[in-house]
Amino acid sequence: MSRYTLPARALHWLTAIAILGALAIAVWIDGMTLSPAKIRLINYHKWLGLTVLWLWVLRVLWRAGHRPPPDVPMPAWQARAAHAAHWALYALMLLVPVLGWLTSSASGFPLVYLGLFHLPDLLAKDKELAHQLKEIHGFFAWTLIGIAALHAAAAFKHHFIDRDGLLRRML
Amino acid sequence: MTAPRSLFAALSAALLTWTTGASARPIDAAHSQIGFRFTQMNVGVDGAFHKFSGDIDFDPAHPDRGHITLTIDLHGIDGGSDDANGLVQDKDWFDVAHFPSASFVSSSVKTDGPGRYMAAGTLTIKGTSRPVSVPFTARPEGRVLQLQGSLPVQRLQYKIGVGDWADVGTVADQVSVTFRIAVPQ
Repeated sequence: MSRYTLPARALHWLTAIAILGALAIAVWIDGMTLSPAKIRLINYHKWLGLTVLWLWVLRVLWRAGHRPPPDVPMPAWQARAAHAAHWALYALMLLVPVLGWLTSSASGFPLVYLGLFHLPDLLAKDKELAHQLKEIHGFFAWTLIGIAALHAAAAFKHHFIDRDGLLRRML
Repeated sequence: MTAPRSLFAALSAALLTWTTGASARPIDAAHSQIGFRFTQMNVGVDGAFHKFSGDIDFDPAHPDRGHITLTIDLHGIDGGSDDANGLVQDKDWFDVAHFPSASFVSSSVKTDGPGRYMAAGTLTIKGTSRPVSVPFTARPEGRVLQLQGSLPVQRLQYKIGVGDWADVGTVADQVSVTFRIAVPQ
């Protein structure tokens, strides 16, 4: 059975790790009072989000020139659902980090990736707007996590129940 | 009786003005700004002091006769975010309950190049007083003299952000205080 190309697999798993890391930190620091540790974690969260963003760019460029392996046999509705989920994940993996960047800009915190690279502010400081953007960022982040969870559950179903080798294409 | 007395008052005021060069004028706080920029993990964040007052006696023609007094009410501090404002008045930071204000009082003012001046004096924050030299420019704008400048402050010298916050890897030691003070003429 044909697999995804090595770069496609690497980009997939690096993105998954970055998203899960950003999620873990976001959940951990929610409601935490400000401390040096919280400041560090907030910055790590932003760095992971920016990592998702540049991985997204590489991934889309790679995907444009390399077709994924054909679907394994499955009911048409499942194939349609899987492809719809992939499209939604691509859209959200772009949208959620960009919303995070907008939130950070509107909050008056410029992004400095890895503490080294100063990125431009997308918005002027605006507390009210920052609050709304944070809510929207969170909403779409949880939407992303929800769809990613379904995506993972479907992969496990193929692997452990259907035993059709689908998951191995990404390993 | 009234006329000689008011004449005497006018003469005394004139004499006082003459001997001190000019009288100190209260600043126009509504048209002035004192801000600060601090850095956390290389991210520059802007904060501001929203409540302050001062008296400034400064004539660009005679800078050495100048005298500057500024007092910042630290209840009006803005740490740049809700998170920061939740603790900037606490004991580890400005301890506003014990040290409600910060001040700068000049001891001498001198010229420091064309259009540039230097005010030496004492900066007092959180009970710590240290000598500082504040460079500034002066520019007349209509009936107002605009004094503008900035001063790097090492926050730990004044015990601002102690305890866990003393780690300068998270919040850098150096804070840049910037000001634009409007002095009505």
